[in-house]
Amino acid sequence: MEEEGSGASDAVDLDEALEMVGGDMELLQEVVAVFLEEDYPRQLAALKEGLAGDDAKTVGDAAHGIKGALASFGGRTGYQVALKLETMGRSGTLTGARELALRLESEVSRFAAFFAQVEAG
Amino acid sequence: MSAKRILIVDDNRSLVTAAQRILQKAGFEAMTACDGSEGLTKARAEKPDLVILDIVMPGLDGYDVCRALHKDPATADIPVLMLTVKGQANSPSGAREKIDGFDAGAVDFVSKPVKAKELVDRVNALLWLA
Repeated sequence: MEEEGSGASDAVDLDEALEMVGGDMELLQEVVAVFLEEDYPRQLAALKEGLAGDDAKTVGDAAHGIKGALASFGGRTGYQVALKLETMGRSGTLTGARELALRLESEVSRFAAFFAQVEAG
Repeated sequence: MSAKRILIVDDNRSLVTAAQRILQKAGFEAMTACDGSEGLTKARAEKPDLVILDIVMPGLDGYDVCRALHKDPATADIPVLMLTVKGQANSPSGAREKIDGFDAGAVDFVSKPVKAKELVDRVNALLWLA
């Protein structure tokens, strides 16, 4: 298992994230805010609901959505965790999925902290 | 000449917002829809020049929307670019998804995450071919 970072600095590949939005930092911050404030709370709630109900499809779909945004906005470590969770959901086997979901939550927190630091300058 | 009109359909609001802003900066008129049903309604009402469509969405997925667009004579000629994480050329599931997408009526695929330049270039190429 790969090492998780402790701070926020390695949670995001900023160069890659900027390439996705044509180098526009203002746009990047805007869409990251949309992810953190609108998409992610809904997707995390669905993920938890899927885990509580042992519903692998719901888990896979929720992880898929989180993965897509993290991949697009440079969240490389969170992306890897979301990908594993999505694969579990698609395979129908949720053994260890709760632990992975906790890790994903922690990775998204680091992702959010990174962009909060960027915004603070 | 008026701006070409693009409809982007994706249930991730952050991704749909990013694509909308990128296409607007490139001179397109970009509209958005956040699920398949809304996408179908907007496509029928607005008759865009191109639809960019995510595959995995709750309710009507990208294949359903694409099939519905191509069954309706009013929208059958609108080219559809499918936008998917899974459509990686080197993955077996991606290859299958592409075949399913082409069967549903898509004209091309682009894999997420998509860089701004690739998105704009792909849209320009499809509009030029249309």
